[in-house]
Amino acid sequence: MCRLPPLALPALFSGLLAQAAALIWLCALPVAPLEGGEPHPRLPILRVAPESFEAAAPLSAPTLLYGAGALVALFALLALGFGGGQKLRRGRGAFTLAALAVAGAASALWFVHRGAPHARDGLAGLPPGSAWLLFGLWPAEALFAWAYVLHFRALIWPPSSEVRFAALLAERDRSSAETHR
Amino acid sequence: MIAATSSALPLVLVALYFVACLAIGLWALRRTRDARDYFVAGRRLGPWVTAVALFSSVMSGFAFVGGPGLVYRDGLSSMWMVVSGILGTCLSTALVGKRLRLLAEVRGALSLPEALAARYDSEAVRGLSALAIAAGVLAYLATQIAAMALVLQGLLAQSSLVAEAGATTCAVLATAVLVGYCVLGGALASVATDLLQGAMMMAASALVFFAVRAQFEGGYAEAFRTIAEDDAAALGPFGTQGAVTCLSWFFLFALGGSGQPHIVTKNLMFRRIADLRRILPLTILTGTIATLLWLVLGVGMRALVLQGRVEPLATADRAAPAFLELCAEPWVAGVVFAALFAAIMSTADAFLNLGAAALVRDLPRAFGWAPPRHELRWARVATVALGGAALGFALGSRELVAFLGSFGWSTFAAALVPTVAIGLNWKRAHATAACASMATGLAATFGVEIAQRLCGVDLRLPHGFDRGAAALLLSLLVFLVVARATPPRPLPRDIDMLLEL
Repeated sequence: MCRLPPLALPALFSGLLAQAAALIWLCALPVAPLEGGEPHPRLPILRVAPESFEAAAPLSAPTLLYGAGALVALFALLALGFGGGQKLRRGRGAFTLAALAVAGAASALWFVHRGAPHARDGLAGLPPGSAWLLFGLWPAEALFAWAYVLHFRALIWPPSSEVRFAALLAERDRSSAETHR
Repeated sequence: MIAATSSALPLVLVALYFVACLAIGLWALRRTRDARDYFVAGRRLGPWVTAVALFSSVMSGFAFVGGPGLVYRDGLSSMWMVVSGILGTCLSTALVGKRLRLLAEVRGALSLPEALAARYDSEAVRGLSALAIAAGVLAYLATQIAAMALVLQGLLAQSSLVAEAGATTCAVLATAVLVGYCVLGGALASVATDLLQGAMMMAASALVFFAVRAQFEGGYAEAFRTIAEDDAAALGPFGTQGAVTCLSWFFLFALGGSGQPHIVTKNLMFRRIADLRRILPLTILTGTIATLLWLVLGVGMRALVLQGRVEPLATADRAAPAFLELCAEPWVAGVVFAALFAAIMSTADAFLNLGAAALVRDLPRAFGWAPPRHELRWARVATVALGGAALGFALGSRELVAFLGSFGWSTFAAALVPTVAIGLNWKRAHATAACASMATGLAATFGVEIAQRLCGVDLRLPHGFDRGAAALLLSLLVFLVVARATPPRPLPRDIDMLLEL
């Protein structure tokens, strides 16, 4: 049976290294095209996207690498927390389903937006990319909470842990009573 | 153009809210007997109270004042901070919830540095984490006071009872109420008011959702269309800031929650481990409802200004107060103004408790000094001193609330996430790795900020990459590499067993 924590740490390290590589890559690209929003031509305080956003293609690859690295690192940390030194039994399927749903929603957002950045025909009057963000990625994250609740007694706090913890507390109380004597 | 209407009703409703907070403080005073009651609410909170206390600590002036301001200014870019919330709550619960509660039980830890000192068997870890908390608390507390003064000014401007109130008067008044009820009841008052504050935030979010919708004949679709016609990218998934900024925010805000002391310390307060099963979904549900306000207020104000129905705002932080002054019914404005105060105060009181614990319990112990004899009394003195210092900091600072909030979040994330979130789940992690990563995190956030201000050098990363996310990435790598590169140390037997559970 697979023990998640030992796998989770190499995955976490890989995700972090991917992010670091993406950051170095971004630093090596010319800065001019994108520096965040620029002031609105008529209204103070408001910002608009710079014209050069449309020429942002060179940023796509390192940005995608950074996003993928971030997701891998976050999933690995979740696996570390869910596994906590225990074998993932029934929880493995639910955890994988949640991870696939989040990664799928993030990928759909990315590709829909890159394919048609100015499209406006998404859900509830939002562009398709924004609709995927608010109605896809956001709710998909709740699947991790569902997996946590569903397998709480198997993964997080099994009866065996409860018994061992009670024994640990009893031992502490015994030794503290002896010290007082 | 929509003109401001004058009404005293919002002021009356907010005054009632303040009276309720002070009454809760007095009630908690009777039930606060020792330091355990003061710092961790006697460790007897149920799942509902813990869940609401958790989300209302997260929802601060940053979320309720700074958040709508960010959407107003940048379009949907900052939604990545909001969208990371569910994943962040899962991460924080899975990585920290159980372990910290077990440590609190086994070693009687009353604060985060105390729990970390027990985990790593190191006074250096206690000292560095207390230092990080004390420094971050001051900055974050100042953010809350600045936001509170801004909201109070907006409220008084709408009222016909008070002609004009300066920022200083508002900040002093807000700090006095905040410190008053926190000194009275400590954590017990804090979490008891969290319940009231959380309920108000959810009600306010729902009210604002319909109040904004009522401003547009075509509902939200019309507001979205107005924004997109002016600048399509503002309504796109990455807003006007671009994908690099948004993705770095997503990572920082999803993982950063596991290092925010005002959030993770709540795990020292609940009654039973099994309660975590209910705490997680309740926190997500209540928090998600409350965060709607971030999106709808920002979108609504941007669309109203673009349609020429509202004067352009002087600062982005005015988005929430301006909507309430100009567009909401007086009773709705009263409830939402009170909820804005609630959001700010629920976080600020958590910070006052954390700062007091760091100053009175953790820093003296880290230096090997005996704890003060009348700890509870000294904790109250420290709370007043922190409130005064933060008030001075707030009055002297001119930054946007959103910027200060983001900086506070980054500081805690970079300094504490590896030590707390990974260290509590990985036996091999040891004190050297924890100290190295905390020092790296503090230097990469606080140190860089100070260097930038003193030397006037621009240390921004290219393409809008968030500096806090880079600092978090660096401190995580330092933690893992140092822990792997140096030999592991034997752990105390109880901690070793605890990390197996």
